[in-house]
Amino acid sequence: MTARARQLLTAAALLASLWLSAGARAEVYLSQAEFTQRYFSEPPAAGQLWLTDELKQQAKRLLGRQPAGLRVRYQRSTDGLRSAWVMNEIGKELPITIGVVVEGERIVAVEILAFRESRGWEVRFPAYTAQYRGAALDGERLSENIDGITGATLSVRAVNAVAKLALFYAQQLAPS
Amino acid sequence: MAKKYRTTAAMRWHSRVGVALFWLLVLLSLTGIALNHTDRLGLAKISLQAPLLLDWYGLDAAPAERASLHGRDYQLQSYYSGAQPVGSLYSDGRAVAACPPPLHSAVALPGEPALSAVLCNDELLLITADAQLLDSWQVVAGLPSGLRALSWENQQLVGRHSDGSGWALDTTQFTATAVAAAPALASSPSAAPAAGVSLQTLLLDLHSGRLFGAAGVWVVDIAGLLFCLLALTGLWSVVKRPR
Repeated sequence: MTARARQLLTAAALLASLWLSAGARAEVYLSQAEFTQRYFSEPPAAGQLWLTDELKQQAKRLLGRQPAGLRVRYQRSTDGLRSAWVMNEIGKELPITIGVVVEGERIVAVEILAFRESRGWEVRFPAYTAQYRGAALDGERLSENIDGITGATLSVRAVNAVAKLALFYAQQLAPS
Repeated sequence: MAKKYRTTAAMRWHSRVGVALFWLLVLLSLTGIALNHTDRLGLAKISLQAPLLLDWYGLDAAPAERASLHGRDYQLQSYYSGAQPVGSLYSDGRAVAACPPPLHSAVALPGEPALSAVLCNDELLLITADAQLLDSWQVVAGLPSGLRALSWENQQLVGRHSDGSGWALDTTQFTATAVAAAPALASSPSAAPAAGVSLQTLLLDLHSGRLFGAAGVWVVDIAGLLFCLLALTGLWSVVKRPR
């Protein structure tokens, strides 16, 4: 095979791959600042929850793997009732940035802040995220039934995991 | 007699097409089965970096991106999954954190506890001296986009763009404040952000024929039509078989 023919073939293969992966760029729907503004009437206080080995083991049961990082940051209303958690969880290969607002051990809202995969972005639709409203942690499950989305199984799994994790982390906060 | 002739002819074509497509059918079946179980088999996370394969995909074997921080060596392992570069930072063979390639810059931060800042593509990682991920900061959370270099200047961590404009990065409050511009960064030859392809990508390209360019796709298309012919001739021979 001539060098030119091989170059053409390689270019064609790469172009086809690029076409297949079109849309795989990071898509930011909501910045963390906008997310905070949306769910807190007053600027919340920032805090950190340190993940001890024990907490990591418990979180592993909800997440299906050990959570990354030594700490997780959160924001909390001045009265201590509402907390917001922004976490990344991999859907298929790339992290989805998910925000969860918790109040009184129940979810107030779930928002997809950024989505980077080429498939499964349907989880950002309000019709889907509204299902989490009012959900609490029932053992290792969510108290509400969450309907999945065909073709977005892994993204749905990631959002479920982060929703449970946020509820679990919120339980660990000392009352203010 | 004519009926028997038609059945025989159908079987003859069935045999010819079957033999001609034997290996292709085996290849498509095996790759199809493997792709059906991509997630369970973790195919997207298996990076292939054989020189022949990199050459075929037109990828340069980029030098390993390394950093030495607080006396510990770190290495970025990256590969393409489709057209999307993905990567992880390793130390002593252990994955420390996901790090979207390329690894732009890394700097050890003074003070206690000893931390290091690692700048991946639009993501800043904070790593402890014993190679544990403390925290990560992304553009969605306020990290300025497009930073290319980190430095420790005037008792603060500074991230700079290629043109020299910079931001003081407060890794306690996770806020960025503009600082005075510096000379533009020396441009370095643009390297591919990743040097490798995932097994999933290879199997997908094999299954579709894209690995062999436009001609490969046509071959698979024609094979698809011939598979239909195979099914039809097979069905025909069963329906018309003398009883």
